[in-house]
Amino acid sequence: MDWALIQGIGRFVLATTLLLLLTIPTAFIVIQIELKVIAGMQLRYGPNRVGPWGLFQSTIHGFKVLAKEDTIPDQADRVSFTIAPWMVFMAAAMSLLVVPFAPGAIAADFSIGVVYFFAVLGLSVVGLLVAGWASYNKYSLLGGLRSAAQMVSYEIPLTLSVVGVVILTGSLSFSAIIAHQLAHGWNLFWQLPLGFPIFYIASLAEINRTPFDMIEADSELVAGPFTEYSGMRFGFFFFAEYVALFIMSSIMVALFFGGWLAPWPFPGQLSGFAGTLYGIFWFFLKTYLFVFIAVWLRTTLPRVRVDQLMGTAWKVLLPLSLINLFLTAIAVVVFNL
Amino acid sequence: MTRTAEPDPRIRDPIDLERVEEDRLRAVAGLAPAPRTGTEYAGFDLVGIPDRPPETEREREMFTLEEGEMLVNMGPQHPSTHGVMRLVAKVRGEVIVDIDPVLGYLHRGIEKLCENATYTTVLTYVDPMDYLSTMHNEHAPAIAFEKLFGVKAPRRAEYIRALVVELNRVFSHGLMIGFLALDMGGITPILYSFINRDEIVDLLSAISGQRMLFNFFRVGGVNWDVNDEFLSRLGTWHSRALKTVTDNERLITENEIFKARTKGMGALSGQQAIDHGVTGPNLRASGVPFDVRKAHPYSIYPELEFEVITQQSGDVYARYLQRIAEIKQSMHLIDQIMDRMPHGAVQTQVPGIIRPKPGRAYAAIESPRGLYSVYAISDGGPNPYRFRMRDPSFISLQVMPLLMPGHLLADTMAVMASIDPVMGGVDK
Amino acid sequence: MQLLGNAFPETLTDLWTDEDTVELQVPRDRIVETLRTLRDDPAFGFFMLADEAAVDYGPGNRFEVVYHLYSDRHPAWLRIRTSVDRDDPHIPTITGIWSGAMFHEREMYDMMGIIFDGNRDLRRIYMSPDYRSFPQRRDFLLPDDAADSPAAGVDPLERPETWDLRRFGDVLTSSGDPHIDPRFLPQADPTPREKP
Repeated sequence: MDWALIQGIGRFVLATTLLLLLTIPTAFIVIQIELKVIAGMQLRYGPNRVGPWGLFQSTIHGFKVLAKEDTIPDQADRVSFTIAPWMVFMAAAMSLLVVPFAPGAIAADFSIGVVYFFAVLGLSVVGLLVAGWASYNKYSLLGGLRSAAQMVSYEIPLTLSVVGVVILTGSLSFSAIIAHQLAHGWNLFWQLPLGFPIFYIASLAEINRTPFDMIEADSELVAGPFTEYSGMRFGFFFFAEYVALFIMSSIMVALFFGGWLAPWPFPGQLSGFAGTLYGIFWFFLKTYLFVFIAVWLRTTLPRVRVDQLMGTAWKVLLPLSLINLFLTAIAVVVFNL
Repeated sequence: MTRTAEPDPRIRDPIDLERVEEDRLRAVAGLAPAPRTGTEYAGFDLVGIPDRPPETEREREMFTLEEGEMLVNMGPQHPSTHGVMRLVAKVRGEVIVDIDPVLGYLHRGIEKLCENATYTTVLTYVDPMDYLSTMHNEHAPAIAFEKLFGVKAPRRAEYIRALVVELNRVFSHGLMIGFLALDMGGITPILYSFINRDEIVDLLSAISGQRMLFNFFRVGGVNWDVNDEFLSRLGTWHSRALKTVTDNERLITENEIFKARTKGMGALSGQQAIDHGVTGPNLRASGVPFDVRKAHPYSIYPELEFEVITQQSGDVYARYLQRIAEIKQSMHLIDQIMDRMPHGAVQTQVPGIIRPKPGRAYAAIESPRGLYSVYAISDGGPNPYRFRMRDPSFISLQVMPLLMPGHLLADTMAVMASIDPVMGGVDK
Repeated sequence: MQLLGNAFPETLTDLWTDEDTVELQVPRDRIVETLRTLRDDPAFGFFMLADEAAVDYGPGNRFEVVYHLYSDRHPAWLRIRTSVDRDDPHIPTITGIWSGAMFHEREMYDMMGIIFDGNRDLRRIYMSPDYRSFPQRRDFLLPDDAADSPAAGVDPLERPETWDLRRFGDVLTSSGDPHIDPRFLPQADPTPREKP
């Protein structure tokens, strides 16, 4: 009996269970933040009846979505129609596996964690495509194709900008990246002019947040690939979007802002169980700060038009991310970083 | 499924799934013709839709589809904010090739209704035409009827009229800015515009008792004089008047995304605008300095100092800037009016049911959407014989087929919002 | 004003002036050239068509189409009235002079039934396209209107799947020959519906 193996499997099962349990409450919290922050910026109250200060509003939204009638268009492809929301949600949930919460509290610390993360996130594209196609609605199909095009185009600058960080660190594993930041300062400063802004813009486009949310715009002609979905199926898409927001913020924090490390005056990392709690605290603080910024952007900015969006991805972000890559590589070789 | 009487053969059960399946199986088996799109599964037969060929040249041009073109309907229900209007767009891919507005969803027959109403009642019927600029809707008929009756409103009444009309212009333009941003995806400016509107509407409710359909104008003056409540609210509003507008300005005017979506979009030249009958801020944004308050002055506008503002480029961005400039101009006008308001009566005594001599009168004013005019004919009776309103939103909509081709479907809402039609006025 | 009287001696049938409006009556066959002269002649310069309206003087009486024009050279509005027979309600269109007259004329056709010769797009604008009577006429009676529209207000033109394109012999594609996709022809034999 290999006790280490059993311990490893047990830890893995525990971690994945916790993560799966974590996704829905995360979505609820992010939605609640969005409701209240947008309301505050628009000089109004926001939900304030359900629970103290309206705190349970998003939870009730979740239950409402469960209670709605589940309709499938008559001539939709039932199997694909059913699978599409699962794919999108699974992409979000699976990518939670490598999110570095605290030292030693990563569910699965792969040595190729970064690659795994972006690969799994790309699964949501497939889910959207299938959703658009399976709805038997030409507007959904067009919307699905557009959103797939948008997400695929922005994946390239997204991943290329991360390669700069990887070159600096010399490893693809998240814990190694954070350890490098502990030693050398946060990657933000190393990647400030190009890497981080590109990553930020591309991440917003990747998760379809304003200003890049043309596909789910209300005043657009079509409601996008989710038109025919109702009830819990729509709920999956809806929650997946907010979980993806959380995950993307957390990865940004991990890659550029030190992950679980505390900022300068505080000690970067403590050890033992207190160290885990300390890391979790700083991690969540930073992640929710970025979630707040994303919501802030949503309140303030109008939408970018689809063709301008794609133009930006291919004509601006892609060359800039390549330049960033070369410059980082040159700097690493020249300065022996 | 029990029926006691003989069922109407045209109307079946609403969702008769067995029949649907049965028809499909029959078609597969070759026992019945394949069902036509849309009519079989509704549960009842659409009896005899006339197969109507295009009758006019324009219809033929619009509804002839070439390879790769598609008719897309932006229907009367859509989350965009202009009211019930339908735009049938012929698109190739995402690019609009032609567009045809379909109107009439809000048609209430106000012109015909006014032929059966006394002159005083007419002023209440015209309120819900262009419901965002109600005071202007009442102003033009009031002037026209005063010409018919041969009465003049006292000077104080004219000043009060100008004051409320300019207040109305301020919040109407403010709302247009909010709607333009909302159609682009910016969800905050509309709320700031509504704060602005709410303050002004509270102000106007102190003087007229209503918040939206102010029944304030009378033939021969206005209904009530300015009261203390109004004056104190006016003072409060005035001190923070510019704040929400400048807040909106800061959010929108220099925003790169907004500029990228509106500059160069829907550009209308001055000559095209005059040719198509566009008036108001849209015309002035295309460079033509035509403002009814200066061109054919009415009320007390000859005594106020202001100049006609124009922009040069005539695109969506220019129309937006034009409205911001006009808000500020209106506030300046309100200052002048408050400084100069004379004392006196506010209404000339006019009998309730008046029978003017037969005649014709035409009165035009500058509403936030353009030239709003009334042509009234009286035949000596208590009701107007013909009461015709020319609404500027109606005429401005004609430029849509001119501006849209070549742009993307997503820009339709931006251009529509910049033209700022209000469906109540369009459909009368 | 005297200018107008001198310019159109042969067409003028009545001239009247008020404090701020000058009114002309013009016979209907001369209306287009009159308006064109008024717009183009620099002495007049009536560049803006402010309003175009129709008046119904009752059954047995005439229609009248009234144009209001604005010029920045003259202080008054110019009103031009044209009589149109009720039995023969035709009048030439002025959309050749001002394109913005289109919606005005469509509304007049829809509400009064006045037919504008030469108008490219004379169809109903407020009422549904198969409405059968004219609401703003003086002899309009609500019960005998077209409330029982057989198409339920639907415009079949906007549903390509209901068209029988073989009837439109003059519908050509850009290549010049009538090409009709066979899917749009009514099916002669019953075929099972394929999923797209």
